[in-house]
Amino acid sequence: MDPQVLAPETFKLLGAGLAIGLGAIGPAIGIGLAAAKAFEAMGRNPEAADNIRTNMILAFALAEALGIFAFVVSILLIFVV
Amino acid sequence: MSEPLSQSENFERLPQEATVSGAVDQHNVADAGTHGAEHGESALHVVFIPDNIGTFFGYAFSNTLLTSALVSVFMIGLAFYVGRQITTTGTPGKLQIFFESLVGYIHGEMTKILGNDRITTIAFPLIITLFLYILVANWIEFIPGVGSIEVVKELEGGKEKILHLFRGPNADLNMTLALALVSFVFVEFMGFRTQGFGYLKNFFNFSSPINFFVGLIELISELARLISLSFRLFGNIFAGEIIVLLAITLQAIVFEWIKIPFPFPVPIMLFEMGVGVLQAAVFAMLTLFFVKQATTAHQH
Repeated sequence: MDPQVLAPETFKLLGAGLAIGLGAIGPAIGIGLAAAKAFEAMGRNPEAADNIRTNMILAFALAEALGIFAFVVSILLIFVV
Repeated sequence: MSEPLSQSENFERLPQEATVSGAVDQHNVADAGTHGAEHGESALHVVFIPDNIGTFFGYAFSNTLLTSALVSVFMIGLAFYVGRQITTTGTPGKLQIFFESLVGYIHGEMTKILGNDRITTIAFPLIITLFLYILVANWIEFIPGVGSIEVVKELEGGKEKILHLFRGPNADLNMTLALALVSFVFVEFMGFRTQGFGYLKNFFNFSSPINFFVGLIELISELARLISLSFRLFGNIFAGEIIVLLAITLQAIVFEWIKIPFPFPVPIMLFEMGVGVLQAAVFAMLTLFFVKQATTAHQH
């Protein structure tokens, strides 16, 4: 096998890709569920739509934070390690 | 890495406008200090740390700092220009109506969310400033010249280094961390202002072991906000610039094949402008929610 393939650089980049790729799955599912339920609630009770929308964005931010941590790890792997 | 080699010839033929700030060509990378190892033959290089274009009273002055200063000058100038044109007796102009409805809308939404006129009056100037500043800072990247104007700097050894004069402010982690710190300090200030030193009881509560650990978790999540706020904005804007760069190189490759210019970057840039508004709104809204959380007493 080409020794270039087994260089530490290879595994660094592979790890960075895996970190953000796998780390994005959880927040994606979480945000999707939150949005689905919020839109359902807005459809049932349109008067409360404003209130639900603001709380929905807060829930997005909390779920997204985990994706951002994965992004941080990936950035650290590429640029710092 | 045999395939990118043939592509790199195409990349080299790109016009200079094709390099977006946040992602530049090979000249910079050797001295950028961010690349510990070689990156092979790939011609797409991403600069993580912004270039220092000079010194200001002995401190390094980066291109993002210059651009953010320009954004500040633009915002202050616009504020004076609009402020001078406001009439309360005559017919209001288009600008006055636009800004009055914007300010009125945001104020109304904030009053609805906070449910308290006094806190709204204190928090309103900061929230709307954060929103408008981040919005303009995100959109300034799409002005031609930002990221494509280059300056040549002489190094000691007679070598030359090509630096970019402008770069989108939020593609720099220092900038977004500073904004997150402003938001963080303001939230804590509002907490102490409304609850006094009882605000500390949310974090250090020795009444029972469970309350102690809940307070510890609250403290950690309070500090984690700094990371999530700054990296959310930085990640979205930095990734957006890289995606625009990829679209431009893709356009160049397709042009090599079929000799027809195909506007790949245009829809991507439109999407990124939408992301710019969204991230500005998210940053301001999260600050607002944190203010609300800090000003309403916890009922355990």
